[in-house]
Amino acid sequence: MMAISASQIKQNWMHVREYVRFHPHTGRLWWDVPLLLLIGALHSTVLPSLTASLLAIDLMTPWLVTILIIEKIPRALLFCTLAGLILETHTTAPAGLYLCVYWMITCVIYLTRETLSWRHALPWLLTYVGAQLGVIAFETFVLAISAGSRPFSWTYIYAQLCRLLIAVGIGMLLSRRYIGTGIQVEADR
Amino acid sequence: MGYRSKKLLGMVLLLSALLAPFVFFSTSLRAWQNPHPMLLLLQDALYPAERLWFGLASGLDNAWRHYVNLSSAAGENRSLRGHLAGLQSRILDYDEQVQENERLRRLLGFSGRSEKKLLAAEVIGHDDLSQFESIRITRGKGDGVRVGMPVVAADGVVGKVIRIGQHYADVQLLVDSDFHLDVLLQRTRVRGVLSGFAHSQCTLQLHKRVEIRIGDTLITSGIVGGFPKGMPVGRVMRITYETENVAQSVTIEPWVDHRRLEEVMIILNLDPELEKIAAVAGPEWTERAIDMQSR
Repeated sequence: MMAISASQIKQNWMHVREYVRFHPHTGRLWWDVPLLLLIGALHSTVLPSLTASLLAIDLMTPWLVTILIIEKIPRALLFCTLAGLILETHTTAPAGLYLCVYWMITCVIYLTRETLSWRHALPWLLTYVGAQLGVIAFETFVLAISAGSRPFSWTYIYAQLCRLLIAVGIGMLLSRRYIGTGIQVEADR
Repeated sequence: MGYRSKKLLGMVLLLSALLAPFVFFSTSLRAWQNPHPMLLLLQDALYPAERLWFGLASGLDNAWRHYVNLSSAAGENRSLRGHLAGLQSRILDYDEQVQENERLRRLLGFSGRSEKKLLAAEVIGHDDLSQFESIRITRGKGDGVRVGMPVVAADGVVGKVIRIGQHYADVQLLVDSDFHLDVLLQRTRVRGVLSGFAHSQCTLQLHKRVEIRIGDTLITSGIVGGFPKGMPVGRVMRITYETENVAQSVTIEPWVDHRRLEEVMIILNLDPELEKIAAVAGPEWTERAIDMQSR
């Protein structure tokens, strides 16, 4: 019987790992759009049932921010539109809420991304925090207009704080691939 | 991309980012209700993944409950048999009372309550990322579901259909901050409009003089919204008085725990008033009326 050594297993695993590793962004539209749909399904179906709605987990914003930093502007706008529509046609949020906030985030990221060094973790961290805070602040403002101060309580603040921390954590996980190496400069920059 | 065109693009994007909130706030701030079919393509694309997850999750849950976790089943079975015997005798009494009620209504000349057409659906998704609370169910346009139809569960009111696809529908929950329902206090028969409050609660504003107690039950008034009269809605949890205000604020806990919902029933009957008009004006008029109502 042929013996397999630990180093051989490790070597094979390193080879396989390249194929099974999760890539948040492949650069191929035909792959990234289904990935966005999958994230939409995870975001609205799988995660609420796993967390029993005790934790609000926002998968869409960190993934979108990662894409917006990396992608060319026409694709970035396409992804932000699709993500906004996925969320809006799945929830009772006012029509245009996520389209508007994601559009603003896209524009801000496009205008600032060249001035930041994406080799370091700090710009990624700040961008995730800023984008998530922007989404939460806009939602809160819209809620305050449509429902007054009724829905705001400590539970709401706690839920939004958890959401912010989890989203930033997910974002930092997604950006691990680019920290240290930086991002490839696209043609339109 | 040249420096000039890049600068121009930057200006256009900056301007659009500044204008976007103004455009958004100039709209009605209502959820997508009857979106263009093209928009629903995205949701139709998501539906198989949702359905697959639901099948997987419910299969695992069933296997766990029916084949693995049976330690408490014998004791539960014994207690349920006792409970069932008690309920059967109550059903006999109840049947008797229903018949008596019908006879008395006929004697008094009240119109008979129409039979509810119910359609069962499974819950396959739940969204409560912010305070916009909705669930997705497995019935849609193909099953005769329309926007605005009431949705109930065994414990009471769940919400109403807000958007439909071919095989699914999104239901705005009772606890959504944009949900309003005409209700009656069961004990004192006082009417009020219930509003969603989020965090699994609703709120009701009543005049200070209205008598109300913690634990009082609220039922649907049956006046607007298509819900039949007498459906349980929730119970009074907290009453807050403000000295300078003429109203008392009542916090309601809905009977239905939407976080644990697995199956719901859609009431296919339209608003009784609409039905009367539709009988004369035809089904096309009804479709148009529902469309306008949902806008």
